[in-house]
Amino acid sequence: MSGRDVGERAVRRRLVIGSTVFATIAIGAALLAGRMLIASQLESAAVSLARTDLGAFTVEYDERRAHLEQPAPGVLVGALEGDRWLVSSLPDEVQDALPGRDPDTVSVVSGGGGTWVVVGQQLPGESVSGEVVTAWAARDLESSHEALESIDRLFVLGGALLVALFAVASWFVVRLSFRPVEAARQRERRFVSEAAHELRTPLAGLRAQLAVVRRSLAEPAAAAQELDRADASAERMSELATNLLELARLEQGTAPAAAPLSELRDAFGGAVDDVRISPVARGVAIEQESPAELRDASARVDAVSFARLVRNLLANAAAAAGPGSTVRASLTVDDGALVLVVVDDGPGMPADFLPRALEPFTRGPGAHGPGSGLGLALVDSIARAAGGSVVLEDGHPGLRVEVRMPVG
Amino acid sequence: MAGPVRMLLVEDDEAIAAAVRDGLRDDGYDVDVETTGLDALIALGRADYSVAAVDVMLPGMDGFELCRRIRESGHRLPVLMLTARDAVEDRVRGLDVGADDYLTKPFAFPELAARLRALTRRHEVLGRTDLVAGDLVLRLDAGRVEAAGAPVSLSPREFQLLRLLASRGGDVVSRDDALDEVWGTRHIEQQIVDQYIAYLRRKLRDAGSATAIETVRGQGYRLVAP
Repeated sequence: MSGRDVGERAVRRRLVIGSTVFATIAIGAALLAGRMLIASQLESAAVSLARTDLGAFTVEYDERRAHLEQPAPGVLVGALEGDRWLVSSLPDEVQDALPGRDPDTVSVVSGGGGTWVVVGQQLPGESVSGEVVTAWAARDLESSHEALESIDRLFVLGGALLVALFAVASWFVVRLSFRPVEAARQRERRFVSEAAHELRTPLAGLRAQLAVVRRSLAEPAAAAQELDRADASAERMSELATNLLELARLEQGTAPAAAPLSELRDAFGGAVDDVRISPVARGVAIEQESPAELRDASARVDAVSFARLVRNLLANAAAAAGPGSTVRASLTVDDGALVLVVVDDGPGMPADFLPRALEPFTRGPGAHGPGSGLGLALVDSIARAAGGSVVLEDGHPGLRVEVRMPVG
Repeated sequence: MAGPVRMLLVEDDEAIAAAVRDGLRDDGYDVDVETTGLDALIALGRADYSVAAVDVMLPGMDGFELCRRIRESGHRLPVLMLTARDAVEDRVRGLDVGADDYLTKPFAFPELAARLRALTRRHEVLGRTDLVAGDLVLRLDAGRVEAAGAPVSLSPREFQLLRLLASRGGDVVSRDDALDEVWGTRHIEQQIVDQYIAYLRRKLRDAGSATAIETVRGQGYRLVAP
């Protein structure tokens, strides 16, 4: 397991923990706000009930001022003159706390075994002794507190459950969204190791060839032959590096440039000329055919990439067919597509290899000469970036490759 | 080739500079190497060059900037840009600042020679339009050929070889001449000329042309009009 994997796992863990902490704070704040709202609702309900009691009591007081009866015990009301209770069903704790308080503000009294909300009102007129009389009504908040407590329990449990659910969900989401990253990472790793392996082969060859040259300096003919081989190794490395760069550029997915057909035809001709003088085409005849007249249109590929595509196909065909063979390349425009066909008269490709031939670093059985297995992969990438396609088929004999790119 | 072609190479990699200088000397070039853009501008003021090859990745002033300044100072000499990157933007940018052609590193030596040859040739050809030989008409400005009235599709080197044959008016063109004129180098095996003659013959025959390319044993090839 490499260091980068550990790094990725740490990133995933941080994402899950971070989002869970954030979710915990958000859920906690929401529940707290909800609880405060409910608490104030419960209290205002108690206050308005107390006010109803107080209203009924003051009416009764007005009517029967002199003959007040002790209120029923369920209703907590009382009349206070100075610091003396005329009548009262209020609990002792409330009775003790109220004298001297402003009747117009809502009071909360707690003590003994309970909490009460108390409202008051000054009664009109004066008492027999000439003092101010205030009426008071209270409501027990015990039931509200019980309701609040059960809501608290519900909220704490529910909140914890929500946070846990969120943590699990975010773990899944993070894992899912990292899956393509991980796949790309694996592809990239395989690509790099295969590229390095492909580079090592011609490098090893090159070093051996240079050593032979050093020993055979006395025989110029042998040295020259060995230098030719060294040159071929260097060419193979150059092609590999160029193909890798081009593939990397295509992977970036920058919008493909468009080139007019005439420019692509010139790129085709130039690529044919380049391959004809390259070592891989020694002894191979490369025939080319392209339209002399072209309509004024363009394809979604730039001339450099198109030339690279042509070079790769021709070099591939020449290497596969070998000296004495003929490779035919033709460029045509049919309705709506630029069509490049490359046919060789070599041994062709086994049918079971055809489907894999476009993948990077695959080489057909018995492949020889320079070639990294990147050439056709790059052809495929360039064609697809241009919205086109590549078809390989048995050419009886040899291989027939057809590249089509839409023309607009 | 008549007299050495003076060329300015601006390249800071000593190994590449030495290889290119020595290789091109055999092909009739007199190559001066400069390693920075500033030195290159000074050299251009001192001597009269026929062509310049400029590396894009130079220390200090880069190749694009150098090329722009060369054009600003009014020089018309053809400039070939050399770069390790073949991103399209680079290529477009190179042509925007006034470069005439573009070659990506690593390049094969014959490719460089052929590009330089085409660039020096392009300037010589300016002003001429058509070349007629038998039933062949070569449109020099467009690089197109008509045989017996119908267009023939030739690759750039095929066209240049046919032009060379046509311009000699039936005189023999040796393989060495062809290598010099078309590919600009003798670092290619001579068989490539024979191969290109075969391509041309096939093209002319398929086009129904009565003009033929004749082999002169031990000497080379010549164009025979009916």
